[in-house]
Amino acid sequence: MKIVYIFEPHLSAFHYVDQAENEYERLMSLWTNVEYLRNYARENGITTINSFVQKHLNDAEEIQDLLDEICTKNHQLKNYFKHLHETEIGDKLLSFQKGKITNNSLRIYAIKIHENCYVITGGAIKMSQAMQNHPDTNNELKKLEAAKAYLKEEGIVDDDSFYELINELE
Amino acid sequence: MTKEEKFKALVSNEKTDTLAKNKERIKNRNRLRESQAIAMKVLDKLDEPGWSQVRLAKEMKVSPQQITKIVSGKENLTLETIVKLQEILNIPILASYLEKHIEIRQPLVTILEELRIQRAYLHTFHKLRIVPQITAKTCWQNNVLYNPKEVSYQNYEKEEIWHMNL
Repeated sequence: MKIVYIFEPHLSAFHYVDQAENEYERLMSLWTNVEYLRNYARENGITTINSFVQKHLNDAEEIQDLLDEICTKNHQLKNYFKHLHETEIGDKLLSFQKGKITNNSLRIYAIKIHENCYVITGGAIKMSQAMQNHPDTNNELKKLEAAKAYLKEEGIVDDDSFYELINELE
Repeated sequence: MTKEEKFKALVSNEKTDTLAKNKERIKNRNRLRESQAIAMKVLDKLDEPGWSQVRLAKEMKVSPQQITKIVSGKENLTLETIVKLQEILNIPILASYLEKHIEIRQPLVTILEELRIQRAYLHTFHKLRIVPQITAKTCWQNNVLYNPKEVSYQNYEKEEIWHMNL
């Protein structure tokens, strides 16, 4: 497992050992693959298969445009990444984040390292309200937790983080 | 060492071309959309009984991997490949396919007139809570454009409709 920069120093992504590409690239390869989306729709009991495929191809384009805009115009990543748990207030230590665009059901998950610095841990097609209710998003939740544990193990905390840690314990 | 510095040290030195690839996708968007639309048509056809990616590969005389690329919707298809797909699968991809088929049947004006009459019947049927069901075959036989969004299935010949005295 390694972390690579996508847009230095603000956006990076995990590149897992069993994958050929970093997580952003891996997801974009899947989300722009017509056959993959079609099979995914079938496996998930979708009846309007071509509409499902078309919607997700469009959703993937939206994410491409947004990433390009953020990187070209140096926009803040917080415009895209929001707290994974909507009830979360303030910044917890290594907080879980989700990339969110209105009416877009593709989710990119990330951990916030510090202001305008995020590392992508994975992503999924949102198929259920709660992440735990679908195997793919549930797996992404596990990946987020594993990534956080890895970052903590690598000591991605500093003196300021002590206060964040207290907040988290509270 | 601050958290930022520690994180920077943790990130690999390896350079990625993710941003460049992202830009490339945006630049080639129109072409990609066409490739995706073709992939959808091909996959729709391959769902029909008797068709498979293996059979298509054999008939096109290409490797199964080539078919995998085509149905991914990412391949920059050559005109030769598009024509082969259109002929072997008998699916409309190029405008020439439609032009050829409409020409064989009847002038467009007549088709539109037929369609207008068909719609009028449908409206009356709907009022009477009868569900007229017209198959693609029936439409073809009667030289009427088939639109599966507007009609469902059951045969009503034109003469039968006339004799219903609606």
